[in-house]
Amino acid sequence: MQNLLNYIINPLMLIIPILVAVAFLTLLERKLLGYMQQRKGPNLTGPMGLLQPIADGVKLFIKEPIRPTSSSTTLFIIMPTMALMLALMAWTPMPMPTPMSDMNIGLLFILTLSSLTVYSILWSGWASNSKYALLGALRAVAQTISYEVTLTLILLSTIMLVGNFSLSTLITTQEPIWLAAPTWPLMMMWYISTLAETNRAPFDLTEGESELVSGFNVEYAAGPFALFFLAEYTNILMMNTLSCMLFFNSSNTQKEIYPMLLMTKICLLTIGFLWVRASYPRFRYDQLMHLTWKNFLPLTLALLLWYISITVSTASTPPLL
Amino acid sequence: MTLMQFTLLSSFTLSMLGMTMYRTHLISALLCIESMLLTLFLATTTFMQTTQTTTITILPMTLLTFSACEASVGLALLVASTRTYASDHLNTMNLLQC
Amino acid sequence: MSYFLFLFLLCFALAIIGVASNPSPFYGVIGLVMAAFFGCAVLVGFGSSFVSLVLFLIYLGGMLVVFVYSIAMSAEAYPKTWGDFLVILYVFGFAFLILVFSFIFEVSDIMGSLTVDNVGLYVIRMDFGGVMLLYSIGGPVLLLCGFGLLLVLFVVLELTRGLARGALRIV
Repeated sequence: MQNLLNYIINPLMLIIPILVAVAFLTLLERKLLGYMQQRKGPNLTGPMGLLQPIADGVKLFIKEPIRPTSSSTTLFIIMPTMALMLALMAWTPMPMPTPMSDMNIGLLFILTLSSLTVYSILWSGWASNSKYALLGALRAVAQTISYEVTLTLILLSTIMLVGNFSLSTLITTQEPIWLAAPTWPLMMMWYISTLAETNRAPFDLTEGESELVSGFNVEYAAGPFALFFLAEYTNILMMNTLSCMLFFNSSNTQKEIYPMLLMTKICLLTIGFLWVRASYPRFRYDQLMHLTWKNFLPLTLALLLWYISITVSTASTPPLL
Repeated sequence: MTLMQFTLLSSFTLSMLGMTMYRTHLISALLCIESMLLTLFLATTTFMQTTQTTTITILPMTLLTFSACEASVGLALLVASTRTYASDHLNTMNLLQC
Repeated sequence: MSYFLFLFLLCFALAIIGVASNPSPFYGVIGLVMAAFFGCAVLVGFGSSFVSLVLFLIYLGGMLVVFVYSIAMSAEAYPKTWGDFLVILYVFGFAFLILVFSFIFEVSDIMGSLTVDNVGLYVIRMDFGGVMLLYSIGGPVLLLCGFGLLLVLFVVLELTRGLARGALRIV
């Protein structure tokens, strides 16, 4: 019974709410985009279109999945599963307010998983053996590893203020004040970098419809495509949760109030993602690269030195455990 | 000999054999060198752990840095040879002129 | 845990065989990523999570670049997988070699005795503490690494310089 509880029910209790949230996030996106473009979103299925995600899911999973004959079969089939699995695994060290597994290097773990996510994109693009998919995958790889450098440097400077790779320590550190206040330039760069890291508009050059059809997932249909879709939105929610943890963590760690506060912040940040998508046109590819290599990278490097020297010179280094 | 030492020894030998016996792609040779370095990294780290000597941890980190150097020089050589000979096949390097 | 370690070591050896049997470079990269994964799992099992995660992060980034280069530089119409005749010959040859080795070297002890965790309680994990030494008494090593990386930057720039001025340009 103990094993059942630990290894099956516990993860399921984490996974199911996330998947439900993701399903309704897609609905929220369509509704919000609709109202921002002066039209109604899906509103026929169920009350106010609330059953639309379920209908979409049923439709996608009963469709016939396509497997191109020239594709590299094993990789082609495994990759969507891997994408969703990685996106869900990244939630394990998140303290909300008690994490599923309290890792002492949770931030490093999340970074590793997010760089593994790039592999799922790259290998699915390569395995489908089509030029569009390959080019989309290559673009995704270049973009994601460029922005990962910035993300890592920003994480390092927050770690310098927190003193630990553990995510639970972030709650303790932010009891007096949100980290967003002392590190606001980092926070803004972090938010933009997460936009780029999750391949959202205006950085969605991996699936530029006009030039690449749909990017790395052209050859996918039905079930595998739905898995990619779920993975993408799970990643969005995960990244926003991480931003909340890093910069807007609330000091109130009561189990009744903390999740509510956290979820509200996550919702606000996610709506920010959707708003950005409705407002901004897509970047040009060289502008995208200039933004990270010529603006963000020097700034984050300088700020990393700044935060190290500030904590050292004011004798306020955190307890490095 | 423990299983760990045995696995590391045999995998190092195998990747070295793979590198010496294969002569088509330059990049495959690079991959074999990478796997040798991976094995060395594991060996030094387990050395640190089984002898309980904290100071040796510097060794795998240094090894990792130099393996990054090796990989970048190898890739640069790959790019240079591909641009010179139009493919990365190793037998084109034996040609006197092309 | 020692059964897990046995499984991880076995998978590590298989992945290394997958790399060393030289299929097409794409599959070689996949084998190497698998090898890095299982190697890191072994290290976590031995109790040094930090070093293993750092290794995995760096190998992931590096292999990503190598994979992209192998797509661009050594494209083949029919990539050789592990099922092709020559490659499978290598695979079985190497597996046989491992068996022979295991008889020669007499693998007796399954895991060895000591890992980090079975000597008692640590306040600071060994690998955390060890990496920290790079910034105190290991400073010269850090400088050496930094100098190496700087040197490599210039080497790479010189090797890949365009317009018939690079190191390897004969034509």
